[in-house]
Amino acid sequence: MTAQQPFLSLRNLSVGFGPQGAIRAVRDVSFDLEAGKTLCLVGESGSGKSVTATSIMGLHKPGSAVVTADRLRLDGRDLLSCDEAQLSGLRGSLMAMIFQDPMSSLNPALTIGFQLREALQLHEKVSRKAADARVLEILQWVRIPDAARRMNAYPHQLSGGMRQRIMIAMALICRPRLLIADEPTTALDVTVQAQILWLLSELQREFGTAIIFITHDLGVVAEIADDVAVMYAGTLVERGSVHDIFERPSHGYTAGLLRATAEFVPGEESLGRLEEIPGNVPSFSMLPKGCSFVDRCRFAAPSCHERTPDWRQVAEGHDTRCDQPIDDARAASALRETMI
Amino acid sequence: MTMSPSKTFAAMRSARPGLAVSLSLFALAVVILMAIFGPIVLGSGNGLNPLMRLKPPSALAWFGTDNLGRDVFVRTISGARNSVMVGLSTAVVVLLIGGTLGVLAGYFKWVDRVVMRLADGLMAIPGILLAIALVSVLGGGLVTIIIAISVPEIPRTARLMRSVVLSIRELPFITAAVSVGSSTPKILLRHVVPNAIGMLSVQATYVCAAAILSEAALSFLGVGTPPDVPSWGNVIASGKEYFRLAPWIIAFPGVILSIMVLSINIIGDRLRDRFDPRLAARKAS
Repeated sequence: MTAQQPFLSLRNLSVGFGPQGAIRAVRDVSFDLEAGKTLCLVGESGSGKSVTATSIMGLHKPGSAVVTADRLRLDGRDLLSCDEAQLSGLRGSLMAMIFQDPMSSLNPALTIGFQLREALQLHEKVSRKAADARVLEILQWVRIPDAARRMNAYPHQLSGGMRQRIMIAMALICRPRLLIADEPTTALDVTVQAQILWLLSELQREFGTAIIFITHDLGVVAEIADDVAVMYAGTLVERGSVHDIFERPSHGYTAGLLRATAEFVPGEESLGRLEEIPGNVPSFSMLPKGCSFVDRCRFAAPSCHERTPDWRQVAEGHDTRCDQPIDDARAASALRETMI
Repeated sequence: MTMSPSKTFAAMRSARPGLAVSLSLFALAVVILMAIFGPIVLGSGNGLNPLMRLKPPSALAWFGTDNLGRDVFVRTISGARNSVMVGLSTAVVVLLIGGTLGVLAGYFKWVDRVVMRLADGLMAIPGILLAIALVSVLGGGLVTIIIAISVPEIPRTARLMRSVVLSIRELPFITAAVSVGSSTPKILLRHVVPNAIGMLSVQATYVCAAAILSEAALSFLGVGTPPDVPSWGNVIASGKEYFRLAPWIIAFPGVILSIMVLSINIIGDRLRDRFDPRLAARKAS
């Protein structure tokens, strides 16, 4: 890896489903990720976050999706030109993924130990005994109590939090350098969620893993992200450091998302009515002309209906896909509006 | 889900198998013992005795005798071997071939197109007619009968397995297995097949029962087991002309055949309840 080349680099990734890929669920997604950094991909359900992730992993069923990109490089390898066998060799060893639903992401017919051992032995030639030792080690690392006994347990004998930790162990057992976590904490309660987040940051400190974390929980984002990329209706609308995005959102959608977060102010009786973004996400077959957020944007100008906005830099390392980026003065006046 | 229904289910599942299943297992055990030891202890029952023709059941011949003076009891016991062999062999052949084709068809689209069109073609022909045609082409004998009964059963099993695999392959743990780098053959063998085994074993009992019936039907029609080898089908066939004079020739093997098939089906139903994904889901929650 040279200094100029980021660890993971995406340029104009598009994914289409249906005949000839006519339904474009993801359009022109571009971002870079350095080793040891965490990128949070945020956006509401159906905005294309998971599809982006599964496209990087190459997990679409053959013939079901059309994936195109100007560049999709991981650690100097062009993932788009890899065939299935090459991808299979990279999955688990170079890149791994944690799925949203721990209840159904483990094979119910096999023991935990067997599944973890298999994940290891797919990529490393190790004896059964050495493999068992590694499995035990990683189970202890993800804080599975009584790990030696749990190796012989079946998934249904474990709680959701434990299963999610097993999933993490399975993704990490070969020490991948890119980890994609697709809403790994959505199905879990808050204390377990905190443990999982702590584990991931521990992993990153220890092995310098790059993490793509998909979530719509902005609290989680604030906690773990280095960079944030905001997705809306299949495309990226804003990207920047977590500080930039939270302090100076420049796209109407990002600002709306942040305002829709409940904030607890000590001493106040009620939170009041939670703010919302009016309207719904447009369907992929009926995207509005111009900016896809135009119909819901409170700052929309007539020109927004005309042309699709290009990327524009609002600060160093902070880009937005908006022709009328929010500046501080406008944000202040919008804030006054909501106060009244 | 509230506590009480899941408790009820737990109670139902932990309850003892029930009288019907126990009796079925007992009947099955008796028939299998008959199949193993019957011909060794009693012989094939082919000895002709003109003086003993068409005698009703008595202490000498418990199930009576047929038109050639052969002991119906001995022939029924010995016939169990033929029926059990046909039933088990057909189940094994059908599961291996039909199951494999079904798994492949469920996982690979191009296999699906080929296999399912062939299956459609085969299923358009009534099973027993197809079996008769195959026996007349291939000639008599146990192996031929097993092939003839298997061929019409294979498409049904392949279809069932295909539908089971189609639903399994969409489950998240298959994607998870792909994401840690499992190859397609490994996914099929370690992740898909073990989760389909339950349905497969249920299907096995139905195929076995159907094969025993088909063998009896073929023998009854005169294209099955040769007359010198007793089977329930040809014992019943040999009694059909004397039904009004000597109903015992048909009655005893007929009743035993019915009990055997009923038992296998009851066991199959029990297995199906056990492996039903909906019941399993309740157990997990």
